[in-house]
Amino acid sequence: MKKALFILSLLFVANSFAQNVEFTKENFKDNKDGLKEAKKNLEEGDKLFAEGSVFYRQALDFYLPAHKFNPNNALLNYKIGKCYIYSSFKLKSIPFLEKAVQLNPNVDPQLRFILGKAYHLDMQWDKAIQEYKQFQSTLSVKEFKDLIDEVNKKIQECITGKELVKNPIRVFIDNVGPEINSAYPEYGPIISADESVIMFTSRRPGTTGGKMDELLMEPFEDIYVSYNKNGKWTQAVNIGKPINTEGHDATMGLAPDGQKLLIYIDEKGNGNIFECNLKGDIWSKPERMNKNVNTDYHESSASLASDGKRMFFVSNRPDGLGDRDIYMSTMDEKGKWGKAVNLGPTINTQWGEEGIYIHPDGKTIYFSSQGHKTMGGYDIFKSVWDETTKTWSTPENLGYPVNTPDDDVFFVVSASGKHGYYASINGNGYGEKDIYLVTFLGPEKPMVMNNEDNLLASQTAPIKETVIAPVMKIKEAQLTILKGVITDALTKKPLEATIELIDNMKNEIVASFTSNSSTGKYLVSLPAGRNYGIAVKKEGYLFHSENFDIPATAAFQEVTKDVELKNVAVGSKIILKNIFFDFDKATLRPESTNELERLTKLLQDVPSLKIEIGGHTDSKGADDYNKKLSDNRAKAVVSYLISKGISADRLTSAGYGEEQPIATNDTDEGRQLNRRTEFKILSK
Amino acid sequence: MKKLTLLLLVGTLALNQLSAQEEPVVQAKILDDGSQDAEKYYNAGIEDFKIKNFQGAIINFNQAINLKPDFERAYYNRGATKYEMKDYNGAIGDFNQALTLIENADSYFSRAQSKYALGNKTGATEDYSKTITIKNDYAQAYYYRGGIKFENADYKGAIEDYTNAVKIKPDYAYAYNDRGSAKRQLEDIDGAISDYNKAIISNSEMAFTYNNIGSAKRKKGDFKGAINDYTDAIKLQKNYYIAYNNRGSAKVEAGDYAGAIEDFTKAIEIKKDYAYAYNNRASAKYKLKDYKGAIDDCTKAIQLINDYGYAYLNRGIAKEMLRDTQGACADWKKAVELGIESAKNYTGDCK
Repeated sequence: MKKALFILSLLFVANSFAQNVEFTKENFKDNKDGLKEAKKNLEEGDKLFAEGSVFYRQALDFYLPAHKFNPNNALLNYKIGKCYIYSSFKLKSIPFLEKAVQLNPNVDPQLRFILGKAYHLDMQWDKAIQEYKQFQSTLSVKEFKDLIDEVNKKIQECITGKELVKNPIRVFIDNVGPEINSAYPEYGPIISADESVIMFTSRRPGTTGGKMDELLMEPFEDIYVSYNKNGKWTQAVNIGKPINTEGHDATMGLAPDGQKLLIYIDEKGNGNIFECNLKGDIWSKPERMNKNVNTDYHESSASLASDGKRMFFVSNRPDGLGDRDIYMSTMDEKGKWGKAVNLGPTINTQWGEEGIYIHPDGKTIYFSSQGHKTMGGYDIFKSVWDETTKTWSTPENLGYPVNTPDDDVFFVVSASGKHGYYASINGNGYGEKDIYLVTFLGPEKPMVMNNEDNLLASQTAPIKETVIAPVMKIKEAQLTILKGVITDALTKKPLEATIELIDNMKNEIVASFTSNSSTGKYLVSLPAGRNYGIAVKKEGYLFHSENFDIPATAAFQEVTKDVELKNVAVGSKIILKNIFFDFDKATLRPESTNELERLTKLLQDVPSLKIEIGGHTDSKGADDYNKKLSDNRAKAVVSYLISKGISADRLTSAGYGEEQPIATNDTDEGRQLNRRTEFKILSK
Repeated sequence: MKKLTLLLLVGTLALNQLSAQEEPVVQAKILDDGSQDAEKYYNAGIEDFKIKNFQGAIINFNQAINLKPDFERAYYNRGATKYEMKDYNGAIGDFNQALTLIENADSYFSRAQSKYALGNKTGATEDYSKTITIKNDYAQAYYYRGGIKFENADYKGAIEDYTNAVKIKPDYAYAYNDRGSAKRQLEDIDGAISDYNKAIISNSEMAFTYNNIGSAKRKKGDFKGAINDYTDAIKLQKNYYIAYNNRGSAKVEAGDYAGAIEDFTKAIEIKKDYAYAYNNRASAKYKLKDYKGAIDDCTKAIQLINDYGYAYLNRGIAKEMLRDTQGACADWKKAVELGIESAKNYTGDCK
């Protein structure tokens, strides 16, 4: 009796696997040719499968016909599922893996784990957790020790994912269009701060040199560029030589003004960062960055800060905290990139970090990480540097739907903070990976309802409830983008000039830029919270100065300021916008130092120059008083110049009071323009 | 000599229809009298008044006064009749006459009602105060003076008056309701609910009080409770569109957007030009991602009230979701123009 039961149960077990059909003669007596071909396909597929995940896509070309012949083989279903998990079409794996489980759940010890991953990618959180736990329960003690962290992390990711999906962030995600995207892969978008230029990497036919990457049978990577003209992207073009070569050339980082490009070049498996500079419309030959930046290891992502003096990059050099870490290098006074510093444990984890981007505000970084609180694979995080405490804020997950259970990497954000760009695969694209624009809508804007009640019994007229719509704090990027064109005042031709950015309170040059020689265009980012002096200089021309006082609370703004530089000619007049006096006094404030030094240098450089310093006031106050004040102020500047060794006979001072207004005296802005110090060239 | 039954029309004449539910319009008093003609006309006037023949009543009261120029009660009743005919200035003239003859609390009270009807709240308050000076248990004078204080946003003062009114008249349902409302305005929501409940104990038929309890509970975030109270209000008054609009809003807040849309639609059915219900229905449609429907509803609300700032604000919010940035900006700018400060949060990105 007992024996009979045993046999019965054995039969029962066997029966539950009975659907699994092996590729044997017995099973396909009627179709020997078909079996022969299917087995050949299996063999070919297995060869590629054994080569590793890079070849899985090609393995599918053989596995799928074999599956068509025999859809009921557990192992084949498992392998196809696994191939899809590593392809661009990961969710296609699910029916194959489910079938494999149905046919034989023990066909491969990894089956449950892979199925868990597939559910995870499909955001079927509970099913994924169930599979992960099932997988955990089958592990031997040793395997358990090796894998417990990883499996537990996956389960945690599902819990995080559930939460993030429940509270999605409000965004529009739009394909940037066929001018940029094609049927081939596009990725790694980088933009200038004002979104006037986009560059990206693509593997499309017509690549430089025209050769195929034999490993993957795909064209080599090249860099492409497109420009924003009246809100539309122009047809992207190959950026050409010398940037693109016959091998892989990929985008990494673009300076906010679009004048400096960092690219990735694969040097025999050792990825390195190269730098290219734009002169007019010609890019310089890529130059390998120094050994503080590039090592024998893999440097895979880089971004330049808006001051041009800090560079963030990703490297898997061995001294890190985990797989890949983010490092920063600072440029020294000689223009040399210094020793790389690991950003530390707030940012870097024991898992991988990738895709670093520093926002033009100079303090916010966006990066991808497999650590922190991700919902799967790499997620994009944001962290802000606090200059007072010298610390990074706890990285914040950007949220769903920007982040997904799959890898979300290489995300760049416009200066305004309103737009992000990244590459992704989704059903709405033009094929393979495409570049998408993310528009951040911010927190939900609450609609206001109106209600009324019959509050007073004696009144038939209802009383309207006073509804105060909640005031929302909108997180804005706190910086000002200053851009424009620098031209010769007389010929109107674009000029390549130097733009110096001065922190007036600290009296130091924060950054120095050059306008483009063929367009005269320049762009500088001014993070909020400083009083900036801006000096535009070119040899043979009088310098031009601007002042921007941007309080820490100022919202994002884009200011266009075209500058015309004047020749050193008799009669030329320049307003010195960074000379400041104490209120109602003729005492020079320390913030004026930089401008005064610039003036001194001009007089030293052109020893024949004789100038007049003119003081001007607005119309407030008595005429006599204003005249006296302006005269004393002009004299104060002259005294400064004399103290710096400029001969007194080259200098004249004049107090014009309110006689020569350059703007209306009826508004605060106008009066501010009228209060000024000028210098005029008397002879040269 | 036949005894005449004189019906004296006291100040309660001034009560509007809502108060008519609460207490008798006419209070009867029997006065001694003589048998002169003046009194006959006077009584005939009262009969006319009762059947709402106000013109006839005036003629009769005129006769009575002609015959007896110091007939204080005839002046008073003629004043009351003029009040009913909405000739408030005429009414005040008659109450003045009556008051020169006899300083009577009712005359002050009725003159107060007339002044209030003319929008003279200060004058009305003075007269209510005089009423109280002459007759310190005149509950209605306290009540109406409290109402003016409420309207002037002097909620504390209003509460004092209402408290006096309910001390004198412990079943004064209106006074409890209004004191509840004053407490609500002072954000004493629990106090408000307690007063509204007292009002209902005195008079369980007041739909508006149930509505007010609902709104107080909404303020506390008790949307479920609010929905129940609004439902009670609607049961008592089938066409109570205000309660439908409020219940709809409570449903939006409770996340029942489809139910909310039904309520707003019902409110609109009852009152076709109810702009608030259109505006609010838009917010429920927005939550259901029916942005087009939301825009249409806001547009309708704006057609009904041209300077409806919130409807512009809301329409902009819906337009943004349909990627109509320019349209959204135009609406938000218009909302700012119409005094909706919060719209400034959104116009920052507009070109």
